[in-house]
Amino acid sequence: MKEGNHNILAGLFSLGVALVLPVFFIDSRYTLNILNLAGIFVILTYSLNFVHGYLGLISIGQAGFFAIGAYITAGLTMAVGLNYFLSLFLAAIASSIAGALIGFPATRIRGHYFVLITLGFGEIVRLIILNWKEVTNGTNGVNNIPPPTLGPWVFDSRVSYYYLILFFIVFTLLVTLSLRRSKYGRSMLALKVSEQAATLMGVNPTVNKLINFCLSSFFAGLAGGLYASYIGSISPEPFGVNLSIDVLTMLLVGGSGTIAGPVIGASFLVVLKEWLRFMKEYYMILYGAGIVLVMIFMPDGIAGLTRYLSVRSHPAASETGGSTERTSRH
Amino acid sequence: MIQEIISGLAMGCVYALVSFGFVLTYNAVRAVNFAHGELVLFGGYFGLIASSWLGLSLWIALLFSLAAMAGLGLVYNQVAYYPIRQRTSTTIIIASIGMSILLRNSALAIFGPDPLRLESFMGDGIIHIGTAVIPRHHLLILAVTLTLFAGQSFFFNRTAIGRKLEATAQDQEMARLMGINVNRMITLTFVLSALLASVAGFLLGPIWFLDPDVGMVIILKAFIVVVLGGFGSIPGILAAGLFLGVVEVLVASHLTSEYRDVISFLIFIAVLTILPRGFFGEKIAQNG
Repeated sequence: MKEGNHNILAGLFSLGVALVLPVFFIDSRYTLNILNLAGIFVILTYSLNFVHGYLGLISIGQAGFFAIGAYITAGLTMAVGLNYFLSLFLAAIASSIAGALIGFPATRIRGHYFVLITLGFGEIVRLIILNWKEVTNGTNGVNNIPPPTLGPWVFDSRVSYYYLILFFIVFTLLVTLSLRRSKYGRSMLALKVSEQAATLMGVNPTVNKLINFCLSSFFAGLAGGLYASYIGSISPEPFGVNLSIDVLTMLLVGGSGTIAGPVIGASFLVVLKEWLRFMKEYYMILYGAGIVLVMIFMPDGIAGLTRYLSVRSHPAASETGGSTERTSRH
Repeated sequence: MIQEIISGLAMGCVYALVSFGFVLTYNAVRAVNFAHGELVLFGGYFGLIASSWLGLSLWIALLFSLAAMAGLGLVYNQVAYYPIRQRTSTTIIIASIGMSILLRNSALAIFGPDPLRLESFMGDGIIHIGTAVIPRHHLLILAVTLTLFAGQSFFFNRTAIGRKLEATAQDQEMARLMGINVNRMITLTFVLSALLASVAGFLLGPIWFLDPDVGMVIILKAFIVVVLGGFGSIPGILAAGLFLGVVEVLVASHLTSEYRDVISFLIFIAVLTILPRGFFGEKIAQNG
């Protein structure tokens, strides 16, 4: 119980910091841009957390759902003329339908085959976007995507977009938390520890995996829709395997299966990439080396590291959920 | 038609060779090695350093590439596998993704983004069969690949070292109990896999050209091939590689060239879903 109160306080404190953060950077469009991109990646990383954090599966297809969300949001607002938020919701639904379609075969297989099926899915989406020129405009992409409007408000400044993204991060977080506390959340953690034992206890692995899949692709699509109208133009290029790998890295560096992990990982890596930009082509070399080093020295990510340190300084607080949240062998 | 099928078979042979090297390490450590595509790429680039930059003959370039790749295989094992060998397969997979990013961007820094052509041992020679015009390089690919696949069965079944490698891949614990130095065998597997990558790079270089993104493209093909062929079966991989190569050529020339890769991936997902054993291999659902 005490632990819970601490977490709520930490959460409220973080939210407070997030609410006042743009005030310090109100004159720096550059910093606000980095904050907004980090925010979109936070949502995308949470989306992967549903699959990796709860089921222990690696997905390298998150870019596919992100792209579906982005293109459908752009299409519905521009070609059909729907309200932005309705379009965003429909795009996220479409993305979760794609998630269910790919999730169904994926629930029948495990481990590395799952990695490959999601990878194949991501590539199919990218290739379709690239080649279906009548609809997606091919490599030229879709340009002049209007900013979101809600009644009299237009989210066309970077500060206003920051709060829009923050709203959706909080929404994602609330869904993640309520899932964690629900029957489904507990079944999923049980599945991750041992599928056989969980199935014997009456957990239906297929239904649980599909729910997680749909949630994961829903939020990835949502992030895509936010991205499309924020950037204003989309083309197939950023939606490749590299994006999916980035998201996976963000999750693992932050700490998979934790609440704070996606926020830490996504913000850290977006900022790190900006810092390393002066090194031009060398920064991606360091980035790759960094991933290997993280896997060797802190496989539970930054959130795992802080937990490890706090467990060491307060030995009494050990065994508080550490073991169930570690990545299980599969 | 003959021309298309031969070029499809040649491409398929390269896919099979890349997949063979990939599957060796997969069977030894039970984790997908995402960096194998970049190993193939570096196999070709090392050849390019020796032949284009240093002006050496192609045979010496091949020896140089084999030696350099053996070294890279050793380093790879020491850096991205050995320290984390006791961890989950997820950790090993992510580390290989990190290595893939590192190697791809090292290639970009060293060789630049432009496609570079590696010379073929056959030059630009062609032969005529009826009306078909067939590059001699394609025939070289077929000959080398078929020889290597025939040789591997001898190596893994008849030689002491090959049998030790095979035993390690099948059951590490049992191999250890039989007195086999498992860590040394896994190191050797990484070296062998890198050597195969070197050969694959030499065969691929003249037909695809080499640029930093080739590794990612070729590893995606290898994934399709190993799923089709089944992870456990080397003959299955050869068959699946040839199948994919021919299907791609036929789809591209008779159906649609834009959606060629989409069709490859759809076949891949269909096989994963409907035929989870692959054509020849183990049952997917049982492999945890």
